[in-house]
Order: sequence, then structure tokens, then C-alpha cells
Amino acid sequence: MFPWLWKLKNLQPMDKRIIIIHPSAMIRMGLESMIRQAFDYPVKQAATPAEIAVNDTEEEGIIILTNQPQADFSALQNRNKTLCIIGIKDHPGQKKQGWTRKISTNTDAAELQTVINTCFDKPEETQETNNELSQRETEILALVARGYANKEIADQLFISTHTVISHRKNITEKLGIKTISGLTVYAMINGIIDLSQISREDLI
Amino acid sequence: MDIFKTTDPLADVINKNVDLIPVINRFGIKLGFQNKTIEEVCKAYRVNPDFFLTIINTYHNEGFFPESSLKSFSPLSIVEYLKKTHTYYINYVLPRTKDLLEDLLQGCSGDCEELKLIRAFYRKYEEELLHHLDNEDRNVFPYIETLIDHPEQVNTDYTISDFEKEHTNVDVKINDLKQLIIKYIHPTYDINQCNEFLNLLFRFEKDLKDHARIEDNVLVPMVMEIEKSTANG
Repeated sequence: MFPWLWKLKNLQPMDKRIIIIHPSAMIRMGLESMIRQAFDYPVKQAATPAEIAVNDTEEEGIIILTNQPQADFSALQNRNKTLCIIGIKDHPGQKKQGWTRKISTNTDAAELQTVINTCFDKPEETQETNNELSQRETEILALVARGYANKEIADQLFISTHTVISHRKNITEKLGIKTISGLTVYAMINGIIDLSQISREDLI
Repeated sequence: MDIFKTTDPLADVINKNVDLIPVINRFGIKLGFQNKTIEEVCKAYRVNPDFFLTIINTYHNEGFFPESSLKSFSPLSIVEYLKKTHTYYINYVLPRTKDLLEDLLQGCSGDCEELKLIRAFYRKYEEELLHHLDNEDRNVFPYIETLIDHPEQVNTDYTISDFEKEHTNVDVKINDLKQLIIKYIHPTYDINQCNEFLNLLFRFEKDLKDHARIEDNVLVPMVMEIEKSTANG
């Protein structure tokens, strides 16, 4: 009916690959068949990250779908800046795993396609999001979001109150968010503080 | 910087800045004013044209400061105008924002955790804004009305500068809300719903800033003058 659609599908560069890492074969097979309906990319499966050879992840245009925390892939991401990790949230109430992109077991085909496409369109975005704040700024933001005052943050991190204030100024400038509750929402969205420990209504 | 004059056709004003429509509505003025000038429309609706110009120019130009026209109308007209903006926020903008945010959540696929957080943030913000508006309606405006109508009864423990300290937070938070949506929403939302919501936030923020400017640049200086000339200053 729409022959150009097929053409589009064929135009997808073949050097892109998708790797699914999940202990459940059912989830792996299900995901693979959903991906195959929409894309022609080669798909690889593994039960654990250890089964993936490092040289499998060194080219450009690779997506890893996994239920493992983002942090487990930081070494691979440092070697390959274009590597895109999509988290699979496979049970409700699961702890934040630091993923910048994620799907859940309720995700439908259309959403899965969107998430994969955004990965391939802007592979550098993952990197930027991770680097938006420095490690120190992230630490300070987590404390600000939990409601600590500048003095308390300074004591906890063994730095001066003046330094805390200057970090806070930089955080606000980088993010364009000024209020504490706005910063708290940012910290929650980006997995900097853990939602399972605190009620969101109390914190915002 | 455009500054509107009483001889400008009101239709030209709207063509230059469509956001002024709800502003002129607060004077009871509705569309369909043909080629009539501001002065003619004001006359037909029994509105003081100097006051009308002050309000629309303050809204249209962030730097506008209406020194020359301040003496030609009473602070009570401003209070009246501000009360109407409160009604507009409470009866239209806030319920509409809430509805659009709910629609956005309904239309979102996936777990939409970030939108749920944004909703929690918005609910808290709405609570604070309502508290702020309520404080003005119950304390600030009655203080001004008493000061002008019955200066002998006014509570001399307060002056106008004791009120009106919390505006800034009210429009800073709405900006945070915009940034969170623009920068950190996940791409699983419905684009048309989200654009509509964001447009409403942009207009609302502008309206709130204007609201604060009218209070800070027009109302407060006028009331301070009156306080100086009565015992309470």
C-alpha cells in the first residue's frame, strides 16, 4: 500500500546492532520479535552482561537493552561514546537504575520504536545527559533535593559553605532550574535520588 | 518599544499583541470593536482611558513605567483590575492547566514517571499560588481599600511594603516547570497535547509577571504616596 515505507526500511544502515541483555528468555525473545517487526537491525541476545564480548560493543550505532543498572556499562560507554543503553524496567517499584532511556514490560511496539529511533538519531545525547552536571554537582544536588541546608551539605562533604553556594549557582545555571522543588524533580527524573525511599509528594 | 496611545485603534493593539485579549476582557471589553480607537472603546465601556493605557502598556512593555499617568486614576481601579486577574487565574487558567496536564498523562505511553513527578510539582505550585492570591484578596486589597476609603480605621502596624514579598517565587516556579518539560520529558508523550500545555504555561508565566509588575511598579508606589500623606507612613 505504501511502497515507500519498505524503501525507508531498506535504507536503514546495516552497521547498526541491538543487543538484548536480560536473564529471562521470554523477555529476550519477546523483545527481539517486537524489534524485528519494525527494524532490520541484527539482534543479539545474552542472559548477563558477562556473555557479551567487549569487541561486540566497540562499533558505532549499538543499542543495549537491559535490566542491569546503567552504571554496569560505564566502562563500555567510556570506550564507546556512541553506545546507547535502554533500561528495561521489568517489575513495578523497581529501584532507579540511572538509565537515561527506559522501557517497561508494558511498553508497546510504537513506544519501543520511538525509543530505539531516538537512540540512533542522537547517540551523543546519552553522553551529554550524563555529563550535564559534574560528579560533585550531582552529589550536592542530591543533598539539596533531600532538603539539607548549605551548612549541613558543607559539613557532610568537608567543603566550605561558600563552595556549596558556588556549586549551587552553577547547577542552577546549567539546568535553568532555580527552586529547590524544581531541582528535586530534576534529581528524581534523572535517578539522582531514589524514589523508593521517599514519597514524591513529601519531597516536592 | 511600542507605547500605545488613546488615538490608536484597539484592533491594532490586538494585532500587535494577541496576549492582550484576556487583559482587555478584564475591563469588560469584548472583541468586535470595528475601527474604534482606544479612547472611543473606553468611552463606550465607561473605562478610564488613562488607566486602560497604563495597564496594557505595562503588559506590553516590560520596561514601561507609567509615572505621568499615575495621578489620573485611583489605586482602587488597580485593585479592581487585579481582583479580576485573580478570578481569571482561579476560574480559567488553573483548572485548564490541570486538565491539560491530566490529558498529557492520559495520552502518554509507558510508565511516564517524569510526568507524574511534574504533576506532583504542579500540584504543590498551584497550592502555593492559591495561597498567595488568597493572601492578597484577604489582606492586601482590603488594607488598600481601607486606607483610601476610611484612612482613620487603617491598621497602622502595617505598610504596603510589609505585604508583597512572595511574588518572585510564584513566577520562578512556573519557569522551572517549563524547563523540566522542555528539557527532561521523555519522548513518549503526545506532541499536540504537550505543545498546548506548554503554550498555556508560557502565556500564564507572562501574565503572572505582568501581574507582579503592575503591583510593584504601579500599585505599591501609589499606595506608598498615600501612606506618606496620611499618618501611616
